[in-house]
Parts: sequence; C-alpha cells; structure tokens
Amino acid sequence: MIFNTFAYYLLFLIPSAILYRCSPAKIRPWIIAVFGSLFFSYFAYSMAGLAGAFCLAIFLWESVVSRTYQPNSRWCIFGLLQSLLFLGVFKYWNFFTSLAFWGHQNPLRWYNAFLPLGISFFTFEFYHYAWDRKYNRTESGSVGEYLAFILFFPTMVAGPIKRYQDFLPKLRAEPTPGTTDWEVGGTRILTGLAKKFAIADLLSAWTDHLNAHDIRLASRGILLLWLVAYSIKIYADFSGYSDIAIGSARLFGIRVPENFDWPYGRRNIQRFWSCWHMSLTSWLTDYVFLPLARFRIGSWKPHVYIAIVATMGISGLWHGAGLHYIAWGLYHGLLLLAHKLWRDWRGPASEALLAVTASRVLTYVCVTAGYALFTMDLHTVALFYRRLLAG
Amino acid sequence: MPDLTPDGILAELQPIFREALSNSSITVTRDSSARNTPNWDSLVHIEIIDMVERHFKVRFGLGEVQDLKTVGDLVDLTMKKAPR
Repeated sequence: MIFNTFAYYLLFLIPSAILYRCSPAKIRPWIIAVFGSLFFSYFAYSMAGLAGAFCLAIFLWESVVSRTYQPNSRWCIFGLLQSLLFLGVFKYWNFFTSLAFWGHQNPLRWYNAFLPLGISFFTFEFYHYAWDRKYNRTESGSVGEYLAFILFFPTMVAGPIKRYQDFLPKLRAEPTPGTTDWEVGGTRILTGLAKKFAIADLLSAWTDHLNAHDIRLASRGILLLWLVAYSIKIYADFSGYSDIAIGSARLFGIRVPENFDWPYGRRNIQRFWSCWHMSLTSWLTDYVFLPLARFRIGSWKPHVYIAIVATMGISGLWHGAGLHYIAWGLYHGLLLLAHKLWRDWRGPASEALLAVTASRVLTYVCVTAGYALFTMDLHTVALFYRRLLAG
Repeated sequence: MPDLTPDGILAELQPIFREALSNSSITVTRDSSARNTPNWDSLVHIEIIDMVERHFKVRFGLGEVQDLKTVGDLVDLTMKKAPR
C-alpha cells in the first residue's frame, strides 16, 4: 500500500503541496504533473520494475493525443478505443485468452503480465475526457492542465474518479491561504489511516485467509460472522483509502469528489449504489448505463433491464479479471432489477418505522451476502453458500 | 398537439413525472432535479426521457441526455427539438 509509506508523505505529498501553494498560477499544474510523474515512476518501479515505471509513457502519449480531441472528432473515438485497449491488454489479456482456450494450455498467455499503477482508474479518466470532448461537455484546457488532471497522484491509485470539467476550475483557483485546508485535509488523512490500520487491516488478518479447507470445517455461525467482518473490512479499507486521497487533495486546496456516504444504512440497493464508490457509480451511469439504455438499431432498442444488469456485470469485471467478479456484478444487477420491479409494482416505499428498518436490514443483508462472490473463485463460493445455507 | 411554450411544456411534463416517480401528488418545477426529488434515479431518468420523447415526438442525443440536470434543462431542450 502506498498511503502508509513515509515516501508518500515526505517525498511527494507535503513537498508538492507546499511548492504548489508557493508557485504562480501558470506553474502550479506543472508542479502536479512533475510530482505525479515522479510518484508514478517511484511506486511503479517498486511494484513492477522498469517495465512498470516506463508505463509513465502512457500518460505522456495520452497528453499528446488528447490535444486532437475536438467536438465530434473521430480522434475522440480513437481516444475511447485506446483507453479500452490499455485496460484490456494489461488487465484482461490473460483472463480472456484463458477463457478462449478453456480447459487447454493457453498459448497466448502473457507470462510477465503486470498491472500499471492505477490503470483501472486512469484509463477511466482518459475515457471520460475523450467522451466529454466528443460531446463538447468540457473544454480542452492546456497540456499542463490535462497532465495535472491525469497525473494528480492523490487520486491516481484508487480514485475517486475525477471529471475534468470539475477539476479544472479548482486547479485554476487560488488555493485558500491559511491553515484550514491543512487542518481539514490532515484530519481526513488521519481518519483514513485510522480506518485502514485500526479496522481494515485488523479484520484482514482474519478475513483474508478463508479457504475451502476452512469453509469445510467452520460452523455456519463463523461463516456468517466472516461475511459481516468482511463487510466492515472492505468498507473501512476502501473508504479509508478515499479519505486519504480526498484529504491529500485538500492539501493542494483541491476538492475531489466524495466516494462514500454511509452506504450500509441505505433503504434499498439503488440508494446503496448511490452512496458506495460514488465516483464509479457516476462514471458507469454516464458512460455505460446511459449509452446502453439509449442504444437503438432502427426502431429496436434493448430493454432498460438489460442495461441495468449489463452495466453491473461490467462493473464486476472492472473490479477484477475473474468470473466470480462478473458473477458478483451480475448479482448486484439482479438486485437492482428486483428493486425496480418491486418499486414499479408497489409504488412509493412506506415510511412506517418497521418498514424503513426492515428495508435497511434487507439491503445490508443482500449486499453482505454477495461478498463471498467478490472474494472467492466460483468453486469455493459454491461451497461457501452450500455450507452457509445447508450446513 | 402539445403546447410548446415553456409553461406549456412544464405543464405537460407533470403527468410524465408523476407516472415515472410513482407519485400522483408531485409537482415539479424548473429547478427540480434528481438531487432534490425523491426516487429520481438513473433508471427513472431514462424512463422520463423515453416518455418525453414519445409525448413530444422528439429525439434527444446521448450527449444532450447526459447534460440534463434539471426539469428546466428538459423544458428548454424539448422546446429546441420539438417539431412546430
């Protein structure tokens, strides 16, 4: 993990935030771009050697090509495709080729495959920029400003996923003088670190080691407890990471999107996804769900139900290159579909205390029940649910 | 033939929103949006767009749909697109 290293704070965050605040407006984007490049090279090298560090070239290439993205331009489509290509090759090559040669040796296996640092996130920001330039929803900004956007290291590794048209005004604004940003940002960072170390890492010591052998031996109560523990661990881990990223950004005087809004207390699965990994939900809504739901061939269009389930299936795949991730995504797609059908049938939800409480509990149970799919391969997950439900 | 003045369009949107939001007593204004209107989520958003397109016999582009934030935006876009 990067956010618990001295290097992150002493080599990158604090020096760059101070330099940023002391620099004239024209230089500030380049401060972020340079430190972001150094950050990427440093940590990418530590994780994947020279090959990882050289992936900085992807950002530099993108900064050049993105200058061609004009409204309605075919270059925008090229930008969309290349974002998907980067993600597809690095993250999914071995997964899809293994599927193609299911049951046989994979002759196309990439044996030294590695993931460039933050690839799931920066390719989504590339895609968003190309799309929004195509539809003239954002200005292009300068090269320095775009480099600052894609190389903004507090959010590079695990989000929140930013939007250029939201980031640009904040980049151009003068950072608020005084200590407020440092106090608020510092507090947010400490909150995130506490969530990570005191809760997530503590629970990980137990939740991360459940295998098929343990599942066979454990009682149903323990398996249930594992699900609850995992639900707490994943929330503390991910929201803690987001807290650190958001707090770090605040040291620059830049506010990035919030990512969590007490998701476990929500009344239905639709509200849960509006409050969990909010920047991803927003991205998927704009760039996957809406295009799918609005897709037409002549007068034929797929039902919106297909768009719901497909979007969540894609979300699952984004989370990891594995069939169980896709299954987890589809599970949530079916939950959203079930919620929609229920709402269409029953109308507005009751405000009675019992109904509200029951809906909150049911939502939490449905979300938590899916975590086994998220963490285990399909064979192990089948064993888990069989043991949990049938003993 | 729908009334294509801003007030006319807003009036004709009311039954659409009431049906999409499953709320027969709601009255939306130009400032109404997903942020301040209960049950208006992305699924309902698509339904609203589809119903508006059928009612006013218009077709919105994908970028235009993505830019719609308020009922006022929808009224203005419908005025711009509606056949006269």
